[in-house]
Amino acid sequence: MKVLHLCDHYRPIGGAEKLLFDTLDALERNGVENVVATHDYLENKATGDRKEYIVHDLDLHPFSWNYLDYFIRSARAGKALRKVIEAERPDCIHIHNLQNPFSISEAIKAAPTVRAIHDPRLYCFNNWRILRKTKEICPYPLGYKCVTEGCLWPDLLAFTTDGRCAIPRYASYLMHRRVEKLIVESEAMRACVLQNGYSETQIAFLPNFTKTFAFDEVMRRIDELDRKEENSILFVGRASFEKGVDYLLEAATHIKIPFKLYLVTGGPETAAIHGKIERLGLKGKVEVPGVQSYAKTRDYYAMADVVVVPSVWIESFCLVGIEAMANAKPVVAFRTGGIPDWLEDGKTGYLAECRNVKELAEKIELVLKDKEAAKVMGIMGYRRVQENYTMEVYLPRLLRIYESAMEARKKL
Amino acid sequence: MKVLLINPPGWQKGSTNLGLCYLASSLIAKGHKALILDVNATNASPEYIAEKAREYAPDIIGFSLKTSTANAAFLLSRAIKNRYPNAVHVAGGAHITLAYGESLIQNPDIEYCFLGEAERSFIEFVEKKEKGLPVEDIPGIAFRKGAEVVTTKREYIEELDAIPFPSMDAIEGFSFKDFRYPMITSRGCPYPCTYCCVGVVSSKKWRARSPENILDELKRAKEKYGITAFEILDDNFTLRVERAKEFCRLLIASNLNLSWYCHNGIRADKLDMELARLMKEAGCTSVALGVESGDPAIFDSIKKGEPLEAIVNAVKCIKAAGMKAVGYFIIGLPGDSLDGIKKTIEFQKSLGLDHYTYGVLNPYPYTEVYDIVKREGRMLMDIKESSHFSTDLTIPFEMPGFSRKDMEKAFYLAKFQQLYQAIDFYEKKHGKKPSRILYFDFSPGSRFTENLSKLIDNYELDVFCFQTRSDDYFKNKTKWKLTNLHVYVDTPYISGRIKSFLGFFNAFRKRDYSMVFFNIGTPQMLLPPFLAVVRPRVFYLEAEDGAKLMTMKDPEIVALKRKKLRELFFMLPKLSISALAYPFMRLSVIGFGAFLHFKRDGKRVEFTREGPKLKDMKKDKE
Repeated sequence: MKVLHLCDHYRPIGGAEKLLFDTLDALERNGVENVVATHDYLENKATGDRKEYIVHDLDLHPFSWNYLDYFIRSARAGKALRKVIEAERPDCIHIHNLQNPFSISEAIKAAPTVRAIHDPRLYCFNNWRILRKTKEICPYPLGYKCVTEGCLWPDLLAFTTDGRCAIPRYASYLMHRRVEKLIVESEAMRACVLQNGYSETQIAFLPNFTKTFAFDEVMRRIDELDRKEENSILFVGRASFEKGVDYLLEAATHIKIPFKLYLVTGGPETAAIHGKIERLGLKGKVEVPGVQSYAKTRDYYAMADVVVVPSVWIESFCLVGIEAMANAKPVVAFRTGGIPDWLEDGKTGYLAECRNVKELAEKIELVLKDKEAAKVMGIMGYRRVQENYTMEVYLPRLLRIYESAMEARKKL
Repeated sequence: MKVLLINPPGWQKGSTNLGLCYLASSLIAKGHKALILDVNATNASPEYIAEKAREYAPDIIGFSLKTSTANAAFLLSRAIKNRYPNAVHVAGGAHITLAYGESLIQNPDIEYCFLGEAERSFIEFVEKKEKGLPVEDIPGIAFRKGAEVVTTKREYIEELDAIPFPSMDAIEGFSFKDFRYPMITSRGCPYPCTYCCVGVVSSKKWRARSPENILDELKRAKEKYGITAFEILDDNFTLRVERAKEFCRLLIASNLNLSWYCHNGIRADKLDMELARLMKEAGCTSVALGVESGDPAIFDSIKKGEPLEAIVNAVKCIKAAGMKAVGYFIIGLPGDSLDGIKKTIEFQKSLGLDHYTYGVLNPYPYTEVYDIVKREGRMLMDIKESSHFSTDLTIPFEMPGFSRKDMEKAFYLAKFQQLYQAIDFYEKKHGKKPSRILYFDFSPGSRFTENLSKLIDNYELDVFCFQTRSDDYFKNKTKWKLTNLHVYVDTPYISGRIKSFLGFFNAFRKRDYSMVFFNIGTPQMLLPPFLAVVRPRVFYLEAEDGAKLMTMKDPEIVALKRKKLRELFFMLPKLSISALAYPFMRLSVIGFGAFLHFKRDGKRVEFTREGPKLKDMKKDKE
């Protein structure tokens, strides 16, 4: 089987991209031929591990007021993608993170298409499904509420990027009704997709997976690296509003026992995080090692007593959670999006009400105070990952999704 | 044996600790294992370094200390000792050579100090430790014996060619990208300059490597690291002029095609026209001179042993040969004053240097100026707390004739000399001082500019600093004042930026400045819109060769305006198609919003403890 993967970022910058690379590796090990076409961001470089195309403007957005330029360039990108598809003749096209309707329509026309949904950009004008006015999680489908709740309307007047992107995004949203399979990672995502008018038959449920390691090796690393005298809390993820580092820092001020918080993070809010650490008087209690490779992040997992996932948006799945569990660590998280799917409250960690920082602090303290119970939680988490979120579980299901997409196209 | 060498933070960024690389190569040549952690480059926390040390599990840990990195090194040593107590901690470097006694007494974690060059003594130490032999008889070390500190006789290495070439590979995570290979071709300096500690650290005896040996190292570096440039860090590269010429001739003949720099400063009286030409031909692009002071009395008092004219001649030679001339100046030398610095600035201007740097004197321990400062002046901080190559200005001492405040003023006078020059021009031209000045600073992170308005007397000065930063600063915009402006504009939208800029420009217009000064980093594309909005009567544009006075009626500016208008005219056809389409596009977007507004249907998702649930919104309404 030959699969063409379309993606915007082709370098390991976040969970979605890590999953993309892991999926490519897993598919190739099982005899699937992969071809990748990606946007020409400067940072996107060919790895040489497979056939790769870097297509100019593949995922273009109307960032400037010059729509004419946008239409011309997008049309050219669509044409370039058509040529790639004609040259490669893939059996199936897997769209990862791509919004440009011109590219998507070319893909849908040419071959059976599968779309992986990693975030709400497909059906939200401001990307994160967080209401602009109240900063609450948005419960509404894409439609008139986007205007009445003020997410879209001010943009129309303020000439901003989200406003300009509205029409192309709506086009992409409508176009996806013709995609054979929409891969959702969690129950929350399934509900969001259904809510936005996609049909039940289109939806394929496929939770993420992560690389797992032998139990002995994981425990040996913990023995070696664990700082016994220190209560270490770990956050891994992008430094941006929706990932909730702000909330974690506020929660840290409510923790009454001595602790050390490690933030393995980087992104648009990094400077703000440093400012907040100083303002809240957490200097000395918080260390920011910055962005780390997965190998290095594993050291932090081994060292930490608890991993916190304070996301405040509808997390589609949250790979960090299962990574922490694969490294036998308990997780404390806000109850939002796909997190309750993998986190069993009281068994593999604790769930706190979304944005309730006091409850989050209490749950973190609960783990730190009873390290024996935390260890047991970590081991339960490790087992849960071994049973549900490994490559061995993921891959046959993904192949089945590709096959059903191809069958659906044949019927047409 | 396993040795961990640590370069503590607090020194110039982007520099390589060559001393540690020499030690590592000597250790590796004797079959030991060596790893260098360059904390100055990585800025890792002491805990992280301690963890690294524990992972590496060395037998000996060595720290390389300069005065401004000493405190950081002691902190690192403490942190490592707490986490990994098994290793012997030793220290070396310039600061240790000068102040080993104090360092040993105050820091019980450090057991041995290596004075001066340690390529031999350190290897001997490692080998004796491996065999379990006593180390107290090794030459050039200091250690505690009871309450006292004992030192052994120091020896200097005469045959520098015998030392293995430095090993940059030993530095963990060393980046060879844009890497300027550091070289030391000679050691020691016979001159008794009062502010310098080289004579104590590397001895008064000058010892040099043979030109052939230097070339061998360069060839190896080119093959191994693919270098394209190198930098000579000698204390006195041209002391023996013939040797320098021989090296240049060999480098030309070798066809290595490397560009190089002498940024550690050479002596002005040890440079002639022939050497300058040879250096240029061999690929040298820039030469620095330690001018220190332009006041003849002070220049003579610092015992450099050369006349001030030598500097003038050397700059002429360097420029005539086609290289860039760089000058280093010191503020606060004994006998110096605010007037002295003014003289120095005049002298520096007359030299026509391509680049110049002013720094406040750091009286290093046991130099002559240190004694003078201790005797006549007053230390304002522990010298170890003073910074070197920092973005913050630290003034570690003051003298009776040169107060801390004056030194600060002198520093700003030297740093912003073109602004002062512009003020003088204005005064001469208009017969009065400018009443209100606007200083434009577009260079990011220029912390010195923040203090500028506090230091200029008699003028009302507004400083406009522009930076984009993503932090809370932007949210406090109500606190922005018009004087001493520091503007952090953070908006991803170009419309937002234009709006905030226009807001500021209009504010400037109302303030009616008699003079506007653009610093050297001002982007050219911002100049025409600014001039169009603010219309300042007089403005100065900073350039490499001084501030240029301009008015709106200057032919140059009129020509610039015409050029911009012409460009705009020819761009119009291209723009017009998009511009014509634009209103329709905007209307369609607004229409789309209206369409969504009237299309009322859908389901609301509710996230409950039992899982997500969908509810019909129409029913909600009923």
